[in-house]
Amino acid sequence: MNWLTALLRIGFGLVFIAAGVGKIAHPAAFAQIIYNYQMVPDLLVNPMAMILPWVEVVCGMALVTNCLVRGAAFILSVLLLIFLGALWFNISRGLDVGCGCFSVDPQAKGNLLHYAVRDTILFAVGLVVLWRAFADVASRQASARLWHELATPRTLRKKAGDLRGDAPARPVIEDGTLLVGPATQAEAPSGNEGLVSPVPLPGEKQDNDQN
Amino acid sequence: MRLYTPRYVFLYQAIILVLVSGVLGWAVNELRPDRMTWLQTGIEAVPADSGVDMAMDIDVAEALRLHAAGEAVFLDSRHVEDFRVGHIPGALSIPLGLFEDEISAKLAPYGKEAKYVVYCSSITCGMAQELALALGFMEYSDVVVFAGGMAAWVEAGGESEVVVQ
Repeated sequence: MNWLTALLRIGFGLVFIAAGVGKIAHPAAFAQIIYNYQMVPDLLVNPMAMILPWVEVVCGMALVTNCLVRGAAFILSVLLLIFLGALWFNISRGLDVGCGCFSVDPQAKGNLLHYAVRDTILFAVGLVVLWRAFADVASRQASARLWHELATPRTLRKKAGDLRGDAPARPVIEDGTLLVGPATQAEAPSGNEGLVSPVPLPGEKQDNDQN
Repeated sequence: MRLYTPRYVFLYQAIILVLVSGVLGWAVNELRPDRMTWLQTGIEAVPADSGVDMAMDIDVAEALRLHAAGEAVFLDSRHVEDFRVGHIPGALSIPLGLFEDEISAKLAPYGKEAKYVVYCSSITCGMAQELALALGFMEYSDVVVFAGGMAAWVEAGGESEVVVQ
């Protein structure tokens, strides 16, 4: 499924690049659209019109190139949520404004409900991308922890120097298989002749019962 | 307080991305020939991107006066459905999207020199400006935009006319 989530991530990024480029080219028209939404204080209309498209494009490019993915996916998901709220707010008060989603034409009329449905679907994709970004990092960290644990077991660390002789060899990966412990240099143990359990196991005969 | 917390790496990333975007937005705006001002009040300062002089605006008092005096022809630029629900008495319906010869045919009784007042639903509706621009290209000489539109008209107590079907 890695290829699918990678596809979703790149597609999600491309959508925002496509949405942002037109607004970067026509900041004045985009400012008019933001003003028409009647939700932002007048003072913030122009700074928003100048920076918001760049946020979309920069985050979209981060997603496509797979760097700073967590931050980019987080920003874009939050943005989508805000857009969705703005759309619903204007639908509910019956204000038929231009969407300003992909086109900066204030007269690009369309059903706002249609845009809201599209945004909802996009938001669902965004959540998948966001979850995947965090899950990827978590799994990488878990792998690194496991590798560290295998390469330098607790017996090798400080305060356990007297057990150093029991240290297993470094783990290696051969033909895609992880080999851990003595099996890497010796043949596999044929039974458990050499192994003595430090604690009495159930069913084992206990001949030297001292106390 | 610790500055670096692995759990919040995504927030640091987000801050970096927003800062980069802000710098880019600022720099690109500075480089543009038609740069916008950062802080302003009102939409008036946003430059029109068409480069064509906008038609003159009139306020609701002037619109009421012109209507009472019968000095101007009122043009409703909204959709026909909105026009049916209510419009300024005597207004003609010229929805956006008509061809030039259709507009000419509708305005033929008044001629190119008559005073026209174009309006749409409210201040946020851009259709009146667009129609006024189109009329300007068609060489109608005296076109003004009643920017407040139907909302300001009704609020000021102007009468409206309904098309009964």
